[in-house]
Amino acid sequence: MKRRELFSGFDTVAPGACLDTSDGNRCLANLIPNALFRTHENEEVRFYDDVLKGKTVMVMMMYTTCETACPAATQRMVEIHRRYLADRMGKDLFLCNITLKPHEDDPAALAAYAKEHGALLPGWTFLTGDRYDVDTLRYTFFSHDHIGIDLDESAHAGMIKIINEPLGRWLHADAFVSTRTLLEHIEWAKPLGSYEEELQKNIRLQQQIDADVEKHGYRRTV
Amino acid sequence: MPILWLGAAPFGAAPAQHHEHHDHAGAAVDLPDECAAAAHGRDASPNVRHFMILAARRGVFYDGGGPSAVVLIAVDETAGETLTGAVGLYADEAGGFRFGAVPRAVYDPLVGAPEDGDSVMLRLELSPAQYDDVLGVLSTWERRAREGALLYRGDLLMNQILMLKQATEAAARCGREIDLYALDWGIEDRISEDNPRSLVPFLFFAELKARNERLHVLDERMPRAALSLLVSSSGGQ
Repeated sequence: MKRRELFSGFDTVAPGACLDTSDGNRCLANLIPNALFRTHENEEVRFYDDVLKGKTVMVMMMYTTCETACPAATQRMVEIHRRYLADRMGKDLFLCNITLKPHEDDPAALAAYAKEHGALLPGWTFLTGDRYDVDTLRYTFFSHDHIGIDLDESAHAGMIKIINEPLGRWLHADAFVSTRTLLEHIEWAKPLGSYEEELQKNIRLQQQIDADVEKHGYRRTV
Repeated sequence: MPILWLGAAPFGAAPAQHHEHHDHAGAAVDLPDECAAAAHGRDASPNVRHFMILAARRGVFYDGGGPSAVVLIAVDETAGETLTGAVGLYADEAGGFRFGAVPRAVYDPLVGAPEDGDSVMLRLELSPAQYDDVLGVLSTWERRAREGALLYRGDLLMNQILMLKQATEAAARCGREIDLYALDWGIEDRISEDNPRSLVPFLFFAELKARNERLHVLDERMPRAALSLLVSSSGGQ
């Protein structure tokens, strides 16, 4: 009896854990696939090279037929974009929405969704791609380390990963927290200022805290 | 003589997901409507029989766990060809954990070893549609392992548990008979709740074996050629 093998690739790669954090962006490049995606404007982009590299990007997931968290999160980000980040978006800050249902959401569907929610704004891109790559990114950015929850795609809508690629820094945020908290999370992705700048920032923060205690009896400033 | 449709699927490549159901000896499975509706034709030889083997051991690794794998076998005795493959978690020669396509030298003894309290093996005969669904799952995981794109970074056991869940669910999707256990980390999932993660693959297979004992393909119902491969590889047991 002749015997053949279904799988020939025994040279499996070690898991992409990045233990050496001394070179931040090399670490990110190791973790984040440079997969091919298509934008809502029907342009092909490589996720790492074209979407992330050299930028600070807020990554979110959604799907166009979602009726609860996705449109609410989109509306929230439209508000944040217009009121607080208009001067930065498309320059040093970007927003990227990846569909959770690439088999349903083609570029035209994403463009229609963006238009419907007023999200055709500078620096904001919607992406669709191969299910394999979408799943890889979904787990890389938003895994709960829970078999059951992670299989529920809708559980990942509304979460934000803020990635500063040049610094190799990424932070987790949520679209539904207070505006101030969300803006602070976005701020944290920025590189540290000089010693003097950071000192002045801390002095201002302490003054706010003192004013809080004076007025309310406890600290309200985060 | 090679089987045409087997050769048409490149090794390691994801196959078509659904195929027309062909009843053949020992695999008289009625497909649910959604499976039949999604099926499309192919040149499946009625002489080809398909099997999925779930095999695991415990007490092998330092954490109390052991190797576990989903093995697929397609046998065409008329053409004289057997196609086999496995994806799972095992220890390499240096003792390091590996996840992905399991070398034959590892999975042959795993499926051929006599069962005892520390090893479990469930052999299920699948329809072509079931086989293709499971192969689709295994191919995707094999690709993820090969490309370093595992879903859980730095935790091979989590990937293994998810793969086992998806493979067994794929097998059950187009075959009503398989009695699944809901491995979902919910409060009803006592296997995950009450045991260390390293034992979950073994206990999951043991539970499936208990639930599906009537479907377990005994040696005398296995194609002689496939059986001889499995038995000879484990030292003639």
